[in-house]
Amino acid sequence: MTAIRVVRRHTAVRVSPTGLESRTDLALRAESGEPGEWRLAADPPDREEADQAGRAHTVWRVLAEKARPVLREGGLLVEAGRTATEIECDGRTVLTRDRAYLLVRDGDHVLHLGDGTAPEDALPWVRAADPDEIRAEDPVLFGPSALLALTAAVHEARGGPAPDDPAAPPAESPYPPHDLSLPLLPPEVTGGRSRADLDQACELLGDPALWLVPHGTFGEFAAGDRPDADTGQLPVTAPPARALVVDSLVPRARTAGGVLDWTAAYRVRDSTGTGRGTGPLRLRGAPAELLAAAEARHGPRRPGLGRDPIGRARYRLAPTLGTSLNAGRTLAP
Amino acid sequence: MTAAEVVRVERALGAVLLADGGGGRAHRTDFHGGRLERAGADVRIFSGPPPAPWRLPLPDPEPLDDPGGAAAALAALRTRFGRGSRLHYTQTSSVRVVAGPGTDDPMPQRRRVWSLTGDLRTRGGRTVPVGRSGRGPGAARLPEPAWLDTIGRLLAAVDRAEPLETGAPPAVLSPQAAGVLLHEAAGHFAEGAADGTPVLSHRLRCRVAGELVCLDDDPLAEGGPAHYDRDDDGITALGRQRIVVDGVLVRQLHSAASAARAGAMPTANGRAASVLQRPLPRMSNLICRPGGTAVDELVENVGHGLFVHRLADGIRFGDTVEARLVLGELIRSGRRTGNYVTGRVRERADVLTRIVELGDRGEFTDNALCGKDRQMLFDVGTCAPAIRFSALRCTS
Repeated sequence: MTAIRVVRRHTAVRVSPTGLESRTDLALRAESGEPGEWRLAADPPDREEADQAGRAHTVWRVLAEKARPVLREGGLLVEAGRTATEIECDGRTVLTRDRAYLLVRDGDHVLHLGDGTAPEDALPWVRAADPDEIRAEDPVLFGPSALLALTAAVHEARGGPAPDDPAAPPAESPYPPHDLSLPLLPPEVTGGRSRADLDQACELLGDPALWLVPHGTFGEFAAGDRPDADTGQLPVTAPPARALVVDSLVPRARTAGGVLDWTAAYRVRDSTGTGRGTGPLRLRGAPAELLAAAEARHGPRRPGLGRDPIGRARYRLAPTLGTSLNAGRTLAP
Repeated sequence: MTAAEVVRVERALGAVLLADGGGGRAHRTDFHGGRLERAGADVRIFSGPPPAPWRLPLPDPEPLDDPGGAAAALAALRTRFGRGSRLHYTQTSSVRVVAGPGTDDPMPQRRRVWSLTGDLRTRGGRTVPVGRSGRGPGAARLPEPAWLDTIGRLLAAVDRAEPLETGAPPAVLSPQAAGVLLHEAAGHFAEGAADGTPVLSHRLRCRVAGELVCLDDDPLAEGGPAHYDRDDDGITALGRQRIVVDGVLVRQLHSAASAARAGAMPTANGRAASVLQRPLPRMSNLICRPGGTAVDELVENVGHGLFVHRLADGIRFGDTVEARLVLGELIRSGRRTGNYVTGRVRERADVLTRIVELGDRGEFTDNALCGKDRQMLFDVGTCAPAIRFSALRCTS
């Protein structure tokens, strides 16, 4: 039986919107001598990544300066990091992977997430947009993070993803610390281990905080937070010239009639450019009904952030959806 | 270490056993790492021992259950409750130490907890969630005859259950079901804000329940799943504290951080699922003082209504409280009928103000799992009697 050893190092520096710094410095190891059994351990990190702090702060300062006219008192979250993965089979190194990455977020709206160290040049807005800019007839678009929030709410209501939805490996993520290459290995290398077996080890290796919790309780080892497959069947069209783009949604409460009340971060797009919403909006709608109004995809899938009240936040690729909804019908008074 | 630094270090052994259609799988974990915080500044998360000069003595955790015995017990459960069942058994044994300003002398805190989670399949093919957890070794608890009998009866009844009609019938909740609503509606309401903002002190003196209800929080309660003499901020627990008196919130539960922001004293309720995560204000053991009425009498006093045997997946967000009604039973003319129902409790956060009568005997619920802000604890206890509500909003 093939013995597998996976070593994962993750170093990162995250600068919060208020400029506070948090560092991550982890070295984790998973070893398996036979299918169905893994031993995971945490080791002292063996290298310092001093340049990451400088890089994160530099990007944060540059973006803060660029965004100041729009964000005013607010700020962006910037994380610069590196993951290194080494996989050995029977003592032979079969894969090494080293990825530097950069994450930039405006709240739950992922502005940039990718390999490398340079953010995209342009910010997705050029001005601030007050709620009174929104017109009742503005079509409503759901950005990737908003789509993930709606999906999570639908899955919670029905107890999981659609039964015929193909499961995606949970270790696949656009966020490198949650993404492992192990599932890419050919079966002859992994000694006949099942995909689920490998995925579970990967999931644990991606986040040691999961090691100390009751398992099987909040969606780890599951792929239930992806948009359902039928979202991918929608036609790809150009976005309307003017629209209300909902970037993120957080459930606030449920009305007496059982309809969810959401807090939304948003943008208003028109011919003068895109304005970043000031302050939260309130939306009202059952998640399944809001999703059922989707009629098109606008542009390629982009990273979004899906939140869970008790599980960890997950980054997933998701499209921006165009809907048949308009702002007048969807915004709560 | 400077006066403004807090360092938390943990060594933890863990094991996860899974029994499902793919056979048995097992993971064993050996974690050593920690979290260093500088007040108002940065946070550092690390694996391995803390870097100098933050070395803290950390003894070895207690060894875990014998994996062979736990795997055999889990496999036997799956065999007994159907091949479609999927069960996780998780156990953790850890030693955690925290040092910094405002904490007492660093003293290792040992923690040994377990959980059984997953889904059981009834003979009729229905899925019933299972959640059990507690303190100490768990493998010997898996085959407990009393629990097996209870679950066996529950599955048989679920198979016969019909969807509940939407409405708001008067109801008697079993101690387990009452514990879910008390935990969600009053316990979480009593917790301070995780990062201190918004300051929630305006909640003090709010009515959260009917005037019969008195609630305490006690990390040292006998038989309670939570059991600690220092919380994860290193604050010494002073024992039982009253949080709801005659239905009114009189004290909030605080971590060191939430207390500082609220201008209050910490209450030794700072709890973290992992040392890598910041302690949050959390309940320890929530205890509802019993009344004086036997369960049969509570049922008789309902007349026509609903007896709630079991709730699961309780959640509070905003001003709503929801839970899955795993099993209810119709009450007619003051008697339980054997007509079982399933559905969902969908309530407002003031649901406890409709409490009109308390049972005469409190008992700890067997599920002490509680998730909040992405942190799941195994050992958040709730001790409740059966409770009668004047109305309980339910849907099918």
